[in-house]
Amino acid sequence: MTRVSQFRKRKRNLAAAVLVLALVAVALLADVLASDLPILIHRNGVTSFLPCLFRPAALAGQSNTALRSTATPNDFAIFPLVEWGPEEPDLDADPLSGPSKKHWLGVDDIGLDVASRLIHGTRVSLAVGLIAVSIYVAIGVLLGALAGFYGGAIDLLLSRLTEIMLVFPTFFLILTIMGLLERTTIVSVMVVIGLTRWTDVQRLLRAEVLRIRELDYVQASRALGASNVRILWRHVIPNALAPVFVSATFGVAGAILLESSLSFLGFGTPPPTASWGALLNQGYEHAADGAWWLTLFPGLAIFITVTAYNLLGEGLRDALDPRLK
Amino acid sequence: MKRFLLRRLLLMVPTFFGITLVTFAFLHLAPGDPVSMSMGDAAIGQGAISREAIAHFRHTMGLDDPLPAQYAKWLWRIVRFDFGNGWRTGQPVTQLLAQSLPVTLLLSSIALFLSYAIAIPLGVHAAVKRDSPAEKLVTLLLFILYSLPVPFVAILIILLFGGGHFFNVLPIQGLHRDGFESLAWPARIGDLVWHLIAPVFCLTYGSLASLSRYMRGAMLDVIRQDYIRTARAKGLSERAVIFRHALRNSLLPLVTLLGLYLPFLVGGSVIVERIFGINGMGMLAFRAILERDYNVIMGVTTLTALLTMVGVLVSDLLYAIVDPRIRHA
Repeated sequence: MTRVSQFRKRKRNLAAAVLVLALVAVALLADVLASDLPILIHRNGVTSFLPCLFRPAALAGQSNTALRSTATPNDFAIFPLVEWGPEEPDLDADPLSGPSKKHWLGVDDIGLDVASRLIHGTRVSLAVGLIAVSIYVAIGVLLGALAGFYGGAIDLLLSRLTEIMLVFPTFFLILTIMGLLERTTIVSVMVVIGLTRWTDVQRLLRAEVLRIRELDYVQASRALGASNVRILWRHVIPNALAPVFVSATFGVAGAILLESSLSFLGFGTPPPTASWGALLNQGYEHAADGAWWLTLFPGLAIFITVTAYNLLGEGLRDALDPRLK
Repeated sequence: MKRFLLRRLLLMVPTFFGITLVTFAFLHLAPGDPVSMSMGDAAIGQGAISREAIAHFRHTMGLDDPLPAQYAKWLWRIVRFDFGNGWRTGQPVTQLLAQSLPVTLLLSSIALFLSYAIAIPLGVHAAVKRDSPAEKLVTLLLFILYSLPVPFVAILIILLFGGGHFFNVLPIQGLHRDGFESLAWPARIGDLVWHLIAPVFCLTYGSLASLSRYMRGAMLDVIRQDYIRTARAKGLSERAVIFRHALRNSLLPLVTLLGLYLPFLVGGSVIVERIFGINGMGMLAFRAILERDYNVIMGVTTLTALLTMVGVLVSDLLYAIVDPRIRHA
């Protein structure tokens, strides 16, 4: 049975894959799904496409509500699913009011629509998850391959380095670095997670490379006169990547949890950018006011995303590496 | 055994130097040097403090020494556990650490104990009753718990049980109630336990899934071994086979995990202590990072790294004690 059919055999894996794709689609289409401007508008004889994305000067200061109330019979518009922008407060809404027809998931303490902020927060979570993991997989693969393939002094040095990284509680280390930075951006969140979490990948890849470099096809390639770099790059690393791939999928879930924790503590994605962790922090601040919608919805969003990646990781593990089952 | 211990202890030395190097690098890469920190950026910018005064300050603080000399001096202080004073209160950092460490250790040791006490039977059950409906349900529940973010669960507890919205039955701030000193000691312990429920739950639930899964995997590995078949062939009861023969060997991987869970718990305590207003290491670290109290940050970082090293050492030793193959390798 091929690996693909092994993966597709279980409905759960497919559901996870569909969920992950749907989340990526939400992140990519966030501006179209939730915006203070329409998707398409024909007004005073002028048609503009996707003003929610291009924000033309002609519509500056406008909003879905204002456009709708000033529309003439000749005008028409297609409004987004959620008619509020993530950073444009609804000044008419009572601060901290719960779910209503106007604001499906309620508003926060300054009148920002929770649903819109959740949709745009998908971007932050997925971007941090995917890019941070890519950074640390790249570092881990490089250092792991070097340590496993060359051994000796390089291996000893890299193993010590990994050991030092391991004894710092990662979350604490990341928090400290974020705290010491002059100002944090979403990029610094990605880079700091990327630079501190490569140890698992490094150890995984080192072990795989140690196994693979003794295999016959590597010996054969060496006998044919291939250089070390070529053997490593063309033969060893590609064959060692399966467990890394699985670990990276779980890693995305971990990085998303980490970003939300950092933002919750105020050291992650800076305001006014919408992020799920920051919403949770507002939920904490207003727990005594009973503003449960500020906690429940972002919490569920994180939970669903993390579960989707974890399920995907399990499916990939079962398909790629039956030994680990 | 002695040689094993000695080798392990010697290996800790370079790691410790690595830790101090990383910590020292932090100190120097961090924006804002001690001069502007203690004199104030504004004062320097406006020229209220003369160049000579700044130079004098740098000289007396040893900041114009070459970096290796500064590192050596700093290391000598760290080795004697002298981290200087905290900024906000002026208290020595060592004193702050001594006040907050027991609180975090209390929280994390209870959490660690509970995780193992619950995860081991769950893992054994999952391995023995493989593919039964009950096992599948438990696995699903644990999987859900594993993916729930800690801040979310903590705030939900506050909303549901801490007087946020529904019930007001659990205390959600600190570890003692007001007037705690006037209580008799049984009441004090009761009060402490009552306050520990929410934070300990938040520290425990997440590790149950991974721990019990490790336990399940280890148990499945052992059950397939020949000596288990022999034990069954001898006519031993299933109970004796599982608990007397299989369990002991399948606990081995969980022993090594013990050391690795320590940094995880210390990291997790930042969020839990912040939410539940508990003055432990996590809260100390959180405040220090917020206020850029470098001395405290360095103290906490060094101490947690040291604790983790000790934790890894202890679990290695335990491993060597329970598995003779390790110490003779």
